[in-house]
Amino acid sequence: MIEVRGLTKRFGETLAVDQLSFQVQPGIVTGFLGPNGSGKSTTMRMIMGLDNPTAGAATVNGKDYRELSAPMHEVGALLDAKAVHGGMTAEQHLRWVARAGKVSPGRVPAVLELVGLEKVADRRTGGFSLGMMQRLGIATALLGDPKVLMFDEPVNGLDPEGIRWVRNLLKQLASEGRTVFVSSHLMSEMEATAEHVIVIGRGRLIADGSIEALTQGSTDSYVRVVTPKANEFAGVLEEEGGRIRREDGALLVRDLGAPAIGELAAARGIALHELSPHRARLEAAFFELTRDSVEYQSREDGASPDDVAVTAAALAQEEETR
Amino acid sequence: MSSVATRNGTQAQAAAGPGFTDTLAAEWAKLRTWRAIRWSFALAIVLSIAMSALLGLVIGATYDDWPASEQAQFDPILYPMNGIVASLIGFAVLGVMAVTPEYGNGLVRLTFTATPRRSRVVLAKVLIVTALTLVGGMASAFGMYFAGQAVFSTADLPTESVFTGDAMRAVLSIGLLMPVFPLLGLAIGFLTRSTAAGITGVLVLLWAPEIFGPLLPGWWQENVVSLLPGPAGDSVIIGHLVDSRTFSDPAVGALIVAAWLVGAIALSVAMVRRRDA
Repeated sequence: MIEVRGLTKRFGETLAVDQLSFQVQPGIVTGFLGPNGSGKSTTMRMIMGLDNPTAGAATVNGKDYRELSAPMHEVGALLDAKAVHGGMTAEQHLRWVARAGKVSPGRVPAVLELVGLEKVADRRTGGFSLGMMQRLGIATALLGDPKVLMFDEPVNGLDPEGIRWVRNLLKQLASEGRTVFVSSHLMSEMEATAEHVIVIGRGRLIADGSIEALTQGSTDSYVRVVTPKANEFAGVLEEEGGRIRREDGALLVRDLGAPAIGELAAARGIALHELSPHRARLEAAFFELTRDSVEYQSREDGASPDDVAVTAAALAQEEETR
Repeated sequence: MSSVATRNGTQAQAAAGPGFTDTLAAEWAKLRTWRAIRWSFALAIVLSIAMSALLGLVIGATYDDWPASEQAQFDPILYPMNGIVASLIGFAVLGVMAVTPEYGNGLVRLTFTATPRRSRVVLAKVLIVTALTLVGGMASAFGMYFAGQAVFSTADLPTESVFTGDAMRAVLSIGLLMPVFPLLGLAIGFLTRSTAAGITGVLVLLWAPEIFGPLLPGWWQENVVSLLPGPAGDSVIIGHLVDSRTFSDPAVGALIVAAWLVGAIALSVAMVRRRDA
């Protein structure tokens, strides 16, 4: 498990990370979302003990990273795929890392095979494509077979086949009970990969919840109802607490689920021609969140007043920049 | 080999964390594959010996035309050592290049996540650079000396066996002190985190006293320039053969050099631990 409490990082005048608090749980893929420059990489570097926090703390399995006795066996990270010496072969690269972390050298061919680089093991990494570098970075993270894994933008530079491979790998790693924390600025990618997302903007927490919870709060999540008795049924639905929008003669209903709407129609003897739930894309939800995140936070179970306050402050700052 | 098969084996030994020897072995496995390290090591040795041989040939060919006063100054120990210019530069560059490329491409972050105790990484690099430049420095010193004597003897010039006290002190102390500038280069590399700044820095430290020292007033030469690592080291190597206002007693020179090294390495460790990687 990864835990971040009040984490803050200031670079001169800029506040790169501002009082960030969240937990990353094992067993699921957790997405770390935010626009470029929102502080994702800085946060990950602080978790890995590379950058010193200005305030707050980050722990992995309850310990400061720098205090782990065998860090590579506990945490694996891909922070920057291009950070490889171009003169070294893929195998030489993995060998020195394995040695530094006291990982069995037998893991080197194993992870090379796992990421599909076994055929280029003795080629210099200077000639690798960005996609191959990403695979090598993932292999490096997996060397010590750690229970906690962190990947910073792992699908950058990968072709569609590679993206699908990463997606499946992340899900598989999570299903083995590992903590998997993946950053991305691509909402659609996270939607297909992560169960839970942590959204930050300008270094502050904007949202922390399951994708389902996040998208449910969006105005873009609704049940589309088509019925010949639209006016009559709209009145019924509003009485039951539904919020209605009309579009091309259809009713777009929020705050009521499709089963409830179906039951209501049956009870009143109203014929339905269409009853289809529509879930908002994460992307739509994200843009709304940056306007509407206090409302969202109040729906989330377990959100402390502090979180809401932080979120409100983040909101104000987001508004300012617009 | 499947990942599942090795997984269990790895976890069984997961409890034992890496020690200093693992860091040392990892740094060695890394550095020995770098071309900059291999080239600077090889060039420092080969060029220094070649330069000494070449200068010996020139001396041999022109000696008869020298004025008698200069012929009297001919020194079979000192003259073959001119190639040291090449080994000093080559090994100093090696010291810088053992550090800065990692900062250039970001690899240092992987180094420090694999070994969060950063002082270990610094000390491992110190040991490797010391070992390489000590061995390389000895090879260079003896190579230059033998090449010079061989060339002199073919030109019927005076030669001196390496086993005389004066010759042995010069040759051995060149080898022993060769790690000094590479280690200072390593420290400057850690402080500047830039190849260009690191190489410039160490070469300025190496040559500034040679070039600008003699232009300074005597008091400055005796009390300031003499405290720089170059003149302090030279007073150990050739203090018995040459006089200079910048030279100290050899024991004092050795202490000055040691103080520079301890200070530079301690500063590197402190900065590397404190700064963001």
